[in-house]
Formats: sequence, structure tokens, C-alpha cells
Amino acid sequence: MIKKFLAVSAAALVAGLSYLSCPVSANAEDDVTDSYSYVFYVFGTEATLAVFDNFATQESQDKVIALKDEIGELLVSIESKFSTSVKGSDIYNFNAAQPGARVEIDKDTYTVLGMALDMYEETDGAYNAGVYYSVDLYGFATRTDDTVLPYDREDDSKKLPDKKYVTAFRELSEAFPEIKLEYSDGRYYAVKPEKTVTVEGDSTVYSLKIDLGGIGKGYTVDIIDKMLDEAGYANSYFNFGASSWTINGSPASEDGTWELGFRDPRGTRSDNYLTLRLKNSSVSTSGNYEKYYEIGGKRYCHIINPATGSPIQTGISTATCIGGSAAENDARTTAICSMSLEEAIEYINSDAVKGQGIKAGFVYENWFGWRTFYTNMDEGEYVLTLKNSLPSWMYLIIVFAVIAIICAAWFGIKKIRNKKSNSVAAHSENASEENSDAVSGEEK
Amino acid sequence: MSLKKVEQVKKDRFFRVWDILVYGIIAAVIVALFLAVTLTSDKSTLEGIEVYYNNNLAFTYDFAEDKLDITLEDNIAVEENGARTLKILFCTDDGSLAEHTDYNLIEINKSERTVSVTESDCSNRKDCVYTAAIKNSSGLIVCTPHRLRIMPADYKDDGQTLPVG
Repeated sequence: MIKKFLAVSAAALVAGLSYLSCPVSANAEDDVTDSYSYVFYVFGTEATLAVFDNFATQESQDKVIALKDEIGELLVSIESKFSTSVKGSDIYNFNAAQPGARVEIDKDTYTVLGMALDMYEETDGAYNAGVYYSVDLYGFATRTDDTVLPYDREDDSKKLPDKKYVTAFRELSEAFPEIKLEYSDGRYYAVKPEKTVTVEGDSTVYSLKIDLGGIGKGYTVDIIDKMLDEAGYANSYFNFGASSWTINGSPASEDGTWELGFRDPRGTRSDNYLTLRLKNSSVSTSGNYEKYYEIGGKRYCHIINPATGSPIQTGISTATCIGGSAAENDARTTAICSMSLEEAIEYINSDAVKGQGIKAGFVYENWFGWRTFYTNMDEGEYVLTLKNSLPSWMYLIIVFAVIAIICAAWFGIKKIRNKKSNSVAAHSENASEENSDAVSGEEK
Repeated sequence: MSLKKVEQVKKDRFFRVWDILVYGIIAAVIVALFLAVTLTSDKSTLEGIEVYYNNNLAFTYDFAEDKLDITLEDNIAVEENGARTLKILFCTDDGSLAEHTDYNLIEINKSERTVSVTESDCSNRKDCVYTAAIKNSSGLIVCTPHRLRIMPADYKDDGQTLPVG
């Protein structure tokens, strides 16, 4: 253990020092690894690129910076297609279109929308990209302009939305699988379903709106994974919003694996409930900790359960999928959070997940807050550090129960003692006033 | 001394012993809970902070030396520098320090060694304002819309464990 730690620290130190040092002759530095990292700001979140290679020569430095620029351009172009709030994006146009309209979209959008429809099928509707209105109703959608809608509340995090809107938007999201994708003369189209809903006391006619944010991140990660492979950066990683990752090799470990720490939904960024070692794989997670507010002790997060039209209350607080396509896994982890415990267990062990070699796991929290980790991984593949703490009212009940037991025992002993002393007193001739206490105690 | 009296004395003593035990258990529970809460808290103190805007170092602050080092002069202004608190105003390249647009107000509490964002016009949600104050080397405040990162100088990001989720 200590040996391993020393080896890792030494490697990290070497990496750190060589990063600080000025370029020296390239051949002398052959086995030294430099690091290059860059943070992009896109889709209202952070994306991090990290490459570990020998950057001693100007040429190698130019190459990595060129890759960074290329990734930056890709991220901007993806945002301009998938953003729900950027005017003129494919998704913005689709959402603004009339019911039944045919909207021209880009090839990327066509691909991702097709994937989203497939994932709807695979998860039996637990993943549904058509819940945009429900997301917005609960205050989790990004609005860049000052649009005011009839269902807006003064402070989303203080009051829950009107039930009639929740029901109407849930019904509307059911139209998602009716989206038709068309391809003709080298152009791509999406046909918006005819379905609309109205709400009592509100003149607006609502038609389907979609959000491909989650799956779009994974799609981008999959593209960048290919870019990193083509550039020959065997030691690298890229993450989008900490929830979608592509992980290649690590320069700091003997077998080239990275240690991954999965965030505890109840903790802060640095608290992990699960760690495992991995290389050359994708990782996706969803959880109720990213964006949420609490009303009446209940957590309302940004993941909408398509079955209820409200934030997930299934007890599944975080889910993760490892391996395969990051885009599909983004949809899978979101879907798992919307499933019941039985459905989720069945799903992670199904042909679509375990059958394809995808490692999946999730944390389930029962009615009194006890948490269990369910996974299709083999024991030994992961280290579980899930901490269970009971809710505060349970501690109160336990303390009261202990006190009650002690009191009961105390009274019990007193009773037995009194009985004994009574029998002693009965035998004694002078049994009278002094023992009256004990007698009355027994009668009680 | 009559037999009755002997019994009475015996009885009293018996209960006194049990009383002490009961009180002892209750006291032990209280002490155990108190120790559990105090011993498990993170006691590392904050030495200094580094603030980045769009991948560039904007300013650093060191608590021990009470030293503020501003790199991005156009984006940073000192709003108040008292004995106890230091208020730093930050604005993005699109914003204005004078008019308080596209800004974050960063409050450094010198005596308690904490750093927090107290005001911002970044979004409706203002995640940066609601993020807990940085108290030790594992804290981090990020304002994504303004591309602002506030982190402890000795930020515990060992680069070995990748934070997923």
C-alpha cells in the first residue's frame, strides 16, 4: 500500500516538476510526462480536457493547443445546435415550431434525436427527452431572455408548481416517441407531433418541447474520445460537467488506470461513496445533487420522472454507467433514476445493459433513509464507501427507546424487590406503617 | 436494629447503585454524541485562496500575511479592506466594475478565514452565492456563467482520483 502510494506520488511529482521546467532536449525527457489541462465553459457548465504526454518540443505543444482549439470549436458548434436557450439552434427552432411542423435540423441533431428515441424504447419511456416543460415548470431550465410564462412562480425554490400544470405537461411529454425523423436530398428533418395541451385558466396552447442536453453532452464526449485517440494521446481524459467522462490511460499508475471517485449524493464534491480503477472507458452519472432545492424536507432535483411529470422521488439518488457510448449511458443513468427499485435492478441486469458489457450501479434510499448500492459489477471491481446515517428523528426515537427500556427495567426491579420485601414483611410480626409504601407500590 | 430497618437500608442502597448506572449511561450517550460530532469535523484551516477567471489567475490572497495580489487589474477592484473583512468586486470582460454588471462580490473573512460569494448577477439561481463558504483546503466555489473559480491555494486536488458526478 505504502509502496504504491510512494510510486504514485513520485510519478505525480515528476509530472508536476517537468510541467514547471522549461523545454529541455526532447530525447533526454523521453519517459517524462508533462500535463496539459484546459477548462472550457459551455452549456452552462464546465468541461475539462487533460492530456499527459511529452511536451518538450514546440511542435508537441502546438499540437496539443491545436487540439484544444478544435475541441473548443466543437463545443461551441454543439451548443449552437442542442441548446434550448440559444436562438436559432436546432432544438430552439424545433421547440418554437407549430405542432405538426417539419423542421430542418443538422446531421448531429438528427443522430442524437434518433439516439434519444431509441433510448426511450430501450428504457420503456423512463428516459424521455420531451419533459422540457416539466423541467421548466420546476425552474430547472435555462432561460437567457426575460420570457415570462403563465406558470412562473416568484421563487421556484419556495413553492411547488400548480398540480394542473404538472399533469398537463406529463401528458404532453407522452408525445415524444411520435417525433418522426426524415432524410431527403441530403437534408435532415424532424416532424413535431400534433399533440397539444391546454390548462384551465391559461389561454396558451402548449406543444411538445424537447431538451437533448444530457444526451448531447455524452455525444460530444464520444466525439472527443475519437479525437484524442486519433491524436495519439493514450494518457488523457475529458469530462463534460463532471457527469460524462471519457477516460484513457493514466501516467501515474503502473497499469495505466485512473482512480475514479463517485460523488456521494448527500455529501459535497469531495465526498465519494464509490471508488474504482478504470482506463480506456466512458463513464456517465446522474444524480439528485446537481441542481435541486428542498421544500418541506423533500428534495426536488432537475431530473424529471416522465411517469409523474415531477422531480424524481423514486429513492434512487444517483446512477452510473461505465463503458460503451457515453451518449447512451447519459440517457441510461437518467432513466435509472426514474425507475422503481425492482425495475432498476431488472434493467441493469438486462441484455441492453449487462448484456452489452456495460457496468451499471445505483444508490437506493429506502423510506427511512437507509441507503444500499445495487450493481451488476462483480465484487472486487469496486470499493464501496457508502456511509449510512439515520435521519435525526430516528436518533431521537432510539434515545427515547433506550431511556424507556431503562425505566421499565428499573420499575420491574423495584416491583420484584417490593414483592420480596413484602413477603419478608408478611412473615415479620411488626409489618405495618413503614411498609405501606411498598404495598401501595405493588397495587399500582 | 430491627430486621425491617435492615431491609430498608439494603433496598435503598440497591436502588442508589442502579440510579447511578442509569444516569451514567445517559451521560455516556451524551458525551459519545458530543465527541462524535466534534471529532469528525474537518479542522484544517484555510491558508490562502486563488481566483481564476476564464483559466487566467485573477487574484490571490494569503491570510497569514494579509497579502492581496491582483493580476487581472481590469476585472478586479477592492471594495472594502477592513481589519476583519476584505470585499473584492469581480466583473467579467463584458461587465463593469463601476456599474456592478456581470459581477460577483467575493467576501473574505480574515478572522474566521472563510471565503464566500455574497452577491452576483450571474443567473436566477446564483449557485455561487448559495455555495457554502470555503473553510478548508477542500472547498471550492464556481460561478459557471461568469467563468469564475475560487479555490484554496492548497486545493486538495491530488490529480489521482477523478471526481465523477
